[in-house]
Amino acid sequence: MKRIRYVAAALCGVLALGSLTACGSSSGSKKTVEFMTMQSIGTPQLKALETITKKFESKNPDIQIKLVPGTNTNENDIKVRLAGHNPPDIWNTHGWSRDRYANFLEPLENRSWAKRMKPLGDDVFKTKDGKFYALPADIQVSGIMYNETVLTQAGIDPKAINSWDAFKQACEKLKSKGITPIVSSPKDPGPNGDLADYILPGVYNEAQLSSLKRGTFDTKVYEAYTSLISQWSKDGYFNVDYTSATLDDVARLMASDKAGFYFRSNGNAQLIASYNPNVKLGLMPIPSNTGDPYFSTGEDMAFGVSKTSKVKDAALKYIDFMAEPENMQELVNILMNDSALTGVTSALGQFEPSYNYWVNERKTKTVPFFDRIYLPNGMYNTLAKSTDGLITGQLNPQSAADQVKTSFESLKNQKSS
Amino acid sequence: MKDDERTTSPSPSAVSQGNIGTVEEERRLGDHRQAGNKVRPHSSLKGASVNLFYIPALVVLVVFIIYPLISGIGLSFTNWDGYNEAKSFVGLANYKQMLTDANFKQIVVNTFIYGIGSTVIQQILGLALALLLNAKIKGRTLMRAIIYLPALVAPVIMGIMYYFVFQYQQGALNALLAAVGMSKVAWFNNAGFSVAIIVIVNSIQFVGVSMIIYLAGLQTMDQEVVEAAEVDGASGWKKFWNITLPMLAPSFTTSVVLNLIGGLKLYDMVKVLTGGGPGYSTNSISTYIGTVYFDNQAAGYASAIGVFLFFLIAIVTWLVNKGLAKLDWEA
Repeated sequence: MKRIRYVAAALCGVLALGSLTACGSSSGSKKTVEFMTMQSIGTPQLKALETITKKFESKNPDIQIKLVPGTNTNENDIKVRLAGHNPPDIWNTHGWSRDRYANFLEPLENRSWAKRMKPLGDDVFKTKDGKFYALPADIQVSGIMYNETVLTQAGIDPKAINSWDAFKQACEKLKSKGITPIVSSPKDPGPNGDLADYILPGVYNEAQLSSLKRGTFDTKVYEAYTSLISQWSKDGYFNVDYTSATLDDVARLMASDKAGFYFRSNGNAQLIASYNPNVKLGLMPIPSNTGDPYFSTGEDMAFGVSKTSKVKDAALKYIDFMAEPENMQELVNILMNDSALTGVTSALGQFEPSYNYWVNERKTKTVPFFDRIYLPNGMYNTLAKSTDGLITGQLNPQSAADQVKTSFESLKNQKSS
Repeated sequence: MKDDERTTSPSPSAVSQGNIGTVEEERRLGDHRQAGNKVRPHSSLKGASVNLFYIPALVVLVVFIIYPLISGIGLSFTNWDGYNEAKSFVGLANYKQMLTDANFKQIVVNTFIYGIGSTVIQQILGLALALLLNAKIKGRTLMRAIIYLPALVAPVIMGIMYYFVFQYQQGALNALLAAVGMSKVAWFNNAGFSVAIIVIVNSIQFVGVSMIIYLAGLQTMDQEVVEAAEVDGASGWKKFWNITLPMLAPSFTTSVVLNLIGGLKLYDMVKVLTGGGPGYSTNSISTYIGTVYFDNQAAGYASAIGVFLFFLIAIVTWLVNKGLAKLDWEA
């Protein structure tokens, strides 16, 4: 009996040791760094990260980078990890390194590559005292993505669309040709969230923006946006399969020359091109009610290091390696945005001509992402949901604005208490 | 002492030590004694020692049920965002918010539709199928298996399969409509349609469970009562209504309570089929908790809704159980 007890105790000890080893991030002399990429399996983005990682591991045989692919619940996953005091060593901060994750991330302003940062996007990336918490791969310069083929067929010149009235006329022309004017999907908060985030800066004037920043939400001002979407929905501009459309369905519509406009960042062109490599896409600025058309800019793919990581040194070494121009170029080539660091050439792919025209020739102004400057952290999904309600007719302009106001005040109170 | 007498009464030694063993233990002890073996009483099973066996179950209960419940109730009085350390006590503010939340009324209504709608459909279909497949018909075992099979599939998989049936582009149903010359329908565009689809798919998945419960009831039914009724001239509908149905009351109670609880906390099916949309119009309370917790970063408010759902299910189940117990007694 005693012998059985000893055997059982020994077995328990071995099992406990085994599980404890699994909890740690280093096995023997090799350090393992967990990197939550938030990129789906098979995407060009993850493939680029794999290429960079292989290079890093061959140069640093004592460090292993465990790339964790993304799911469609990336944001929930990271929040659960943070709540459980178990963050990954590195994670993709998907535009929220400062406003959401700063408490959990190692400040990076003292890294050697920090002086190569371009100023574009500072408003949403750095704190007032110049601190920042992630290595940005690219800076989004987002406007309205369009299918050049269908616009040409319908006789629409995107360069002439400088107001929402002109945009409406373009939509009518597309509709009369049997082409879906605008595509979106409720299956991911992105398309509807971006729709709101891109249009809202042009709804507010300076005084109203200041008031919003101070914490006063005026539903009447916001209704300029909700009325616009509601009217587009009533006019039948959105894809008829909207409620069941996945991101792939939307990409297929754009790729097959059956849709005109898509309010999404340039990186989404990768998915569209995967269905039709010959698709011709362009980029135009967003019309404004209160001024000139503009592009929306801010942090896109960026990587932060957990300040509580047990392998922080190894993680920071990997981040420094990623920041090297040739590695950063690998990523920027597939993100189709402006590079965030000097020494890396922007690779906007087929958006290059329209980007050059609008940004370099016409000097179109850029504004920071609306929600990250003027709304409390956590509003993006409410913007997306209320926009979904408007497109499907479940909400009218006033009730959608009321819904956003409720969420705004609730989150503001949460932050101030 | 006869063998059967010895095995049904505890041994004097066991009684004197305050340990009333089971019939099986006594039989084993008796056998040992008969074989002349030196019997060692089960000292490890005495008194408090026996209670040690409860500990694993109690630990699971405390860690996975009691602690989260108490913790959830505690969080419902805070403004926690769900991931940061900081949180403050806000009293009943989250519970008050439920009363002013423009979406909440619709979501509670949806939850009752999912709970009651699924329960009603599953009782009618489950009972009909049980009656049909209780009869001696060819292939009934295979048919029972086919009807029960969806209950073995994860609701997420079931939801995805039916999503492919109802989706606009490449959807099986729209392909059928197109084949007969009709135009496609955007099934999920309408909140009413979407709620109905969720109820139907959930019912299809779990109708097999109700069928099995009713089949078990039918097979354990006292045939003497049925035969006596037949001798008295009862047949067909009369026999079903006056004999079969009342005798199935215990099965009915079990099936209703299980289906009702499942329907009231429906999550996966809603998430996969509609994601709670259009807007918030097809959310159940469970899916809304997820939305509020993660999307709106209001874990405190989500916890308050969770507490509300806990008591809602507890009260509804208690009321239904009480009502149906009366039915059992009357039967």
